Formats: sequence, structure tokens, C-alpha cells
Amino acid sequence: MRHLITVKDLSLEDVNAIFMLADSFYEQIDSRPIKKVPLLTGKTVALLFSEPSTRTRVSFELAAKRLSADTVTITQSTSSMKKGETLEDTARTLSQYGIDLLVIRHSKAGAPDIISSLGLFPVVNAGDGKRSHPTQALLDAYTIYREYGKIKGLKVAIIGDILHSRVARSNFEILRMFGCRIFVLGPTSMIPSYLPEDVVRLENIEQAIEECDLLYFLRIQFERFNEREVVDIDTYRRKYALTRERFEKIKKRDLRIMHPGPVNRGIEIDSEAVDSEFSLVFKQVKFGLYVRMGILAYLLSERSEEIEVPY
Amino acid sequence: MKFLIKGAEVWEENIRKQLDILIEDGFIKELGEGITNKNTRVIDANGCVALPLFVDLHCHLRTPGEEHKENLETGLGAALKGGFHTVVAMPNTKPPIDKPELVRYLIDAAAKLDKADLKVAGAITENLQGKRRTSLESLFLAGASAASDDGYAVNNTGLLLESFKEAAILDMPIFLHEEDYELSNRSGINEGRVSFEAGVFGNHPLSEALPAARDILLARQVGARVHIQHVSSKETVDVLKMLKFKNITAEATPHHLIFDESATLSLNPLYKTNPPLRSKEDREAILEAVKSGLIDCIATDHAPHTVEDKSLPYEDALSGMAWFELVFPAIYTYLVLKELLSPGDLVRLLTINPCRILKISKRPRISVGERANIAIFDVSTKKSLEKIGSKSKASNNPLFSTELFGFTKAVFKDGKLRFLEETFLEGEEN
Repeated sequence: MRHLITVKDLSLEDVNAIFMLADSFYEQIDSRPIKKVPLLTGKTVALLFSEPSTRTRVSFELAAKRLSADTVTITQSTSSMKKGETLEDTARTLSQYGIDLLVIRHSKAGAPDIISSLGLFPVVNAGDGKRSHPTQALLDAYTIYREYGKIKGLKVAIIGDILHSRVARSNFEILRMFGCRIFVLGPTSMIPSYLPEDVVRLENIEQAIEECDLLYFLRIQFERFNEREVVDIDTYRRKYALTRERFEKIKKRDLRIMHPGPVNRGIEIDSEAVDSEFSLVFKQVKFGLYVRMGILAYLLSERSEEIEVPY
Repeated sequence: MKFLIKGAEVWEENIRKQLDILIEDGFIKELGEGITNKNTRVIDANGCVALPLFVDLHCHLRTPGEEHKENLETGLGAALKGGFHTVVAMPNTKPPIDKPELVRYLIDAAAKLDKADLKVAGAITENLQGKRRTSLESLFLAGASAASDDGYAVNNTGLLLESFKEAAILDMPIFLHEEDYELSNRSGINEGRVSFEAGVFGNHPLSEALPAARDILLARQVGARVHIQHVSSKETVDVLKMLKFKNITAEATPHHLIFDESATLSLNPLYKTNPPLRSKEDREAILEAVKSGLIDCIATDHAPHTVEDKSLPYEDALSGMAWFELVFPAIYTYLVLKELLSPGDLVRLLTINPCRILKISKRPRISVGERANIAIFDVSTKKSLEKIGSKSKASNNPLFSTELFGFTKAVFKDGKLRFLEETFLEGEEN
């Protein structure tokens, strides 16, 4: 049984297989009037979300539905988890209903591992704490591949609130897998004191614009800051934001910009840049759907091979 | 009744030799090669080692209040089976052991059981809240062997100074869980690579070293005996190097000696401990300190928990490992076989020094004329505790189902054969 808890659960072959599936779903569905393929008819995908989410939840739900799977969504506020049910018991309960795969978002790092260790069904991590968000990293890599035609060897700058970002952590892993050169830039207070050895810290955004192929901006996660962690918007804007002036240089160099959303417009990136042809922000959202279809199809079709017909 | 233990390698201070042990009327009558004796019950201990019983300065028996995790019978039973003569229970029970009557209750209840002997640490502060001092004299007179707020740190230095003064007069050792909460973030993950990858606030190694330094200086001022519990970082080892003097002792746990932070990368809650597992370099520094004597002893920090408590997401899961029956097998398999610790080290770390710290004058000793307090471990067969079956209620140890050498073959305590090959001997087999 395969799980997707962190990017490390995947080999390069797995990632390529998921991308090929995403390619074919994109071609079969994106411009067609009937947006459904019958691949997962009769399967049930459960979505357990104990943290707010728009795009991840909606895209997973739609991904399952477009593959003809049934879906069921459980949110913390309306479920027995609120009555104190343990994660394990919630999982065992869902298992009794015969669900085939669980997508989970949770505020605590390691929560998906608790369920995957039960071995009941494949588990897909849709974000746990600040630790990991592998499907975002996959859709980001896929967007890069669609846009650039390759991933290997690109120089990628990840800019902003690295400290609180599971997206950054997972992107480090997938970009490393593809042999990218990874750079980070951000206020001292938003860069972890520990960084992986292969991640290079840049001095200023001009350096990123001049030397990198792609700028990946992160959202400042205001809700995660504690009393010791400093955020000064003025300094941030002055030194790290994609302002209109900096956008001119980006246009000149024909760079692409990415952001996992939701965007704090006017803070990390100015609207003019977000909405421009240089922005991949909404392509990320679109491809996210097809990559998540690819992930579901990959994990569930593998599983179906193991099922033996009893008579 | 006479017993002849045949073929075991005896591990004692300055002895490592295959010797037969003849026990008569509870005492070691003869110790030598090729002993034969009629009318004795022979215990075939070929492929085994025999050590003096251990003393554990640090365990949690969850009694009173959390007997679903462990009670005195299961906890002290598991300790005896693990080769422990005496264990010291920490006071973080529900309610905490912060009153003399609770100390007396525990001592009386344990005395009826005839398993491992129990000694009790009484709380330094009321309800372990670090705010109001308990009367150490009352706890001491009720029978408490030490004072500790283990599980929680006391960071009120004025209060500590007063408690140290009182303990110094009573000659009562103070066992300290060192943790600066502002630096530890109460996190079960070491600060650095692992906390980065897990995306959680890390536990900084100085969270332990700083209060340890402070408390050693306080103890020096008033002459108190202070024992630093579960040393986890090289920074704390450095503090001991700089500041340790004759009144200061320290312990290391089996988990900090055997595992390092890489085990916590998977966020498997079984590896969550407080203080957390730290880096490879920290583990090496602790091993070196244990070898050199800078850290005086190994204490288990046996911390039984239910499966549910350990099935929460890592951040929410409770800390600690259940150790009693796995201590020798784990240390033997991972440290002695790899020649990181010697048989002599084990006797010093598990018997001699814990007895010295508790001022137990007659330590368990394998020597002619001594009472039989002997643990015999089978080091030639690999078994798992899961298959053997545990006496403890808890199974929260990552090695619970791992095959290890060195599980218990027999235990003699206070002259009586108390355990033989997976069966407890109740009553009077002596």
C-alpha cells in the first residue's frame, strides 16, 4: 500500500508517472464539455480537513469526482473529532465504510503518519502543520515542467516566509529530486536558523532577479507568528516584495513567478504582477487539479492490482 | 534450599570470568570454577551473564492516579524481572507525591508486594507547579529518599536555593529535571535539522545546560547534593566538565545512549521523549561522559503510557519510553556488543553508583558471603519482549518487538530465587 506523506515517499519514477497521468487527464478533460473519466468508478475518496483550505480541498474533491470516484468530506467542526474521537478511531470508522483512500489536512505535524501506520487505506497528506505539503510540491513541479519544458538544472529562488512554510519544505525536496539549484531569500526572522546544506541563502531580491530562472513567492503566514517572531511589513515590502519597479526587471529578463496562494496582494506581490502573463499563479491552480487526479489514479490503480476477485 | 548457577560469566567490579555460583540459605557460599554439589537445584546458565542486581534512580510507576498505565505490582514486577533490586519512583502522579502521607502510602503499599524494592522521591514544590515549596523535612521523615519535581522543571531560583539549603541539612539528594521552557518550547524534537524538517518548534540543547549550570552553582553555595537527571546534550556534558564537584552527580537514560534524533525524523511518537533525542554528536558526548565517569549512572526514566497516549500526532503524544525489562537487552545488544560500554562499566553505572548516590551501604554484590542479589541474562539467544510477554502494563518502547540478546533468565533477590525463565516465582522458593 502506497502513501504520500512527504515527497520522500516518491521516487523520480513515481513523480514522472504521476506527471504522465496528469498530462493525459489534462488532454482528456480540460477543453472537453464532459469533464469526467470513468477510471475510479465505484471507489470512494474521503477528505478529512481539520484546518481551513480552499484550493486543496476543492481540487482534491473535484479530482476525485472527475475520475468518477465518490467523495465524502469530513471537517473538524462537524465531525466526532470534536467530541474527542481519536484520529485512529476516525480512520477505523471510515475504513468500516469501505473508503479506498484518505486525503488529510491537519494542524499537527505527523498526524497523517498516525493513520498511514494503521495500514487501512492509502493516505495522502494535504498539509500537516508546517511540515509537509507534498501535493503542492508536485503541482508546482508539474507547472514548472509545463511552462519550461524541463525542471532539471533550473535555478529557483524561494522568497519570503520560509520559516512557517510547509510548501517551502516540500519544494526543497522535490526540486532537489529534479536537480534544481535552490536559493532562499527573506527577512532574517523568517529564515529558519537551520537550512539544508544545498539551499543557498541570497542577500537581496536583485540577486534573485539577476541570477535565477524562477521566483517562487510565499505567503507571509501572519496567523502562525508567535510573540518572538517578528514581521515588519514596511521592511518586507522594501526588501523582499515583488513591487511594480522590480516587476519591470522581471519582464525584461522574461522570468516566471509562482505563489502557492492565497496571495496577500500588495504585500508579497503587487497585483500587476500576479495578473500578468509572467505569473503562473493561476496555472498552478489549474494544474493542481490534474496533478491531484494523477496522484489519486496512481495510488488507487496500484492498489486495484492487489485486489483478487473472490469467485 | 541450595542453588548452583552453572556456567554464567560473572560481571562484577574488576571481574569478568565464567564462574559457578553456589547459593546456600540465601547467601553466596562459593564462587569458583567447576563447583559440584549434591542436593542442589542447578540452574544451567551456559551462554548467560550474571550481574549484581541494578538500582534505578528514575522511574514512573503512575501510582496513585494513573493505574491504567502502570501500578505498583506491574511496575515493580517488571523492574524485578528486568534485574532491578530497587527503584526510585518520581512524584509526578495524580495527585503528586507532595505530602508525607502520600510518601508513606506508597512505601507501605510496595512493601506488601515483595517485588523490586521501592524508594520514593517527594516533590520539591506543591502540586509540582514550581511555585510553593514543600516541607522537605516532612517528606524526608516520612521516608522519601530524594526530592524531585521530575516531569517539570523548577525555575524559581529563590525557591530552589531555599530547598537546597533544607536538603543540605537533611543530606537529602535533589534530583533535577532541567528545562528552561522558553528555550525548550516544550518540544519533543531537537532544535536543528529535525525540527526544521518537521516544521515544529525545536527544543534547544541549552534549555537543559543553562539551568543545570545555574543549579550546580546554587548547590555549591549551600552544599546541597544535586543530581542532574536525563542528560541529553553535549552542552550539559560541558557544564558538568566545567562545574561538577563532589556533591554533583548525573544520570543518562538508555534512550539517550542508544538512539539519536534521526529516529524522530519519521515523527513516530514512540521516539518522543523529554528531553528529546538529540544529535549524533550529543549522543557521542553522553556516551563518553558515561565512560569517563562524568555522568555517574544510567537511570531508566521508565515512563509507561497507554497505546492511545502514544497514537496521537507527535506534537500531542506523551513523552517517554517503558524500559524496565528492556534495559539490559538493549544496552547489551547496542552498547556492550559494539564495545561502547564494558561489563565493568555496566556494574558501575547500574549498581555501584546509584547505590552511592542513594547512600545504600550494602550494594548488591556477587561475592562470597553476600546475600544473593543476582540477575542472570541469556546473551546467546535473541528474543523479543513482545513474544516473551511483558510484566509492565505498557509496551511503549520502540524496541518492544525487536529481537535482542540478553533477556532475563533468572533473578535472585535478597537470597530468594524470584524469577526463572519467564515465570515469576511467588512466595517462598528459597
